[in-house]
Amino acid sequence: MNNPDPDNFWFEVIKVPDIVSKRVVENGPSAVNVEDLDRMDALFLEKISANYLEFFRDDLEELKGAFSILRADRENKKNIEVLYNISHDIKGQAGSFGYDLITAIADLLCSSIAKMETIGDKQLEIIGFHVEAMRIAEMKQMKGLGGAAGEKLLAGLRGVIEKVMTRTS
Amino acid sequence: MTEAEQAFEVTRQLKILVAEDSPIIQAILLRMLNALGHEIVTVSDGREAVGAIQANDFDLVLMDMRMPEMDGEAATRSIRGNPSDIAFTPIIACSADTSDEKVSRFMNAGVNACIGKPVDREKLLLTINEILDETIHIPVDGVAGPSQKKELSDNADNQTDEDDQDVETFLESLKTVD
Repeated sequence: MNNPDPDNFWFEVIKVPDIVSKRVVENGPSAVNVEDLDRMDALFLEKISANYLEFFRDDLEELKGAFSILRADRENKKNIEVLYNISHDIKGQAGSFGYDLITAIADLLCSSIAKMETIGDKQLEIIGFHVEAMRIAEMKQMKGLGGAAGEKLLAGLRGVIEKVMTRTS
Repeated sequence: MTEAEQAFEVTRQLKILVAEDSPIIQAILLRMLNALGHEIVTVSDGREAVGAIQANDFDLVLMDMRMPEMDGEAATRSIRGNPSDIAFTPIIACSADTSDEKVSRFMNAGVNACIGKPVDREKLLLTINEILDETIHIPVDGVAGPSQKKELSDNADNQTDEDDQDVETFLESLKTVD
């Protein structure tokens, strides 16, 4: 390429926006500068807030799947860990969107699992009741603590946990 | 009635590292803290948190304790074991499990405080004041706007007889446990 005559050559420096580096800080692919994504996050959160139960249905399906795997292989400790982790996430999320009953059921499930030294028929039954209770809360869209019906549901779960755990301890 | 959030004034902006693997919880924390003008950086596991804190100055870390790759407890120990000043960065543990046993473990790992999930915004802001020993968030009269839970109080008592019937049927099934 010939050198242009500086007196007859016109050029313009076009600075391309460095979108990627603006969004990523120095230390890792998932480390994100949130300022640039704030609007997107707000929209994301609005969508979740309006449709939390849709997100929860996915979690519930995941929980049911983990329960099926546990029933098929109750000796594998990994299976109960997976189920615990899903319950733990549900517990941490549902209440943020007004579904405190679901958080309370997940809380009961987590603490029950934590006390289970082995997984027998009774333990599976307890887990199954919690999964079913979450399904009812979701199906009936029971917000808050679900009023009197929610109170009864939680009391019933607590009662059956105490009954079974006392017997197996 | 709509549940509204307590309004706060902020005396200075903080740079906060949020280590949290759940995108939903990340978004909740971002909204809580960004709205107050704080600068937030998010990472998705403990290993990234340790890397981020070595590369940036943060006023504090919100550390989820259950994360893939490296959990919050291990990340906290790693940060506390760093020979530089970053070892002294205040860390608030965020966990859905706030049993005495777990909180004790988190504190032994080196966190300064522990808050439960779902995260209560007011509690979080006042905990930040406490561990930084500085009144950064000042509760003021008025409200900051509706909370995520706004529909809760609108609909908390919307349970119907049909709901009761489903629950009664469920309770009957519990009685089969001998």
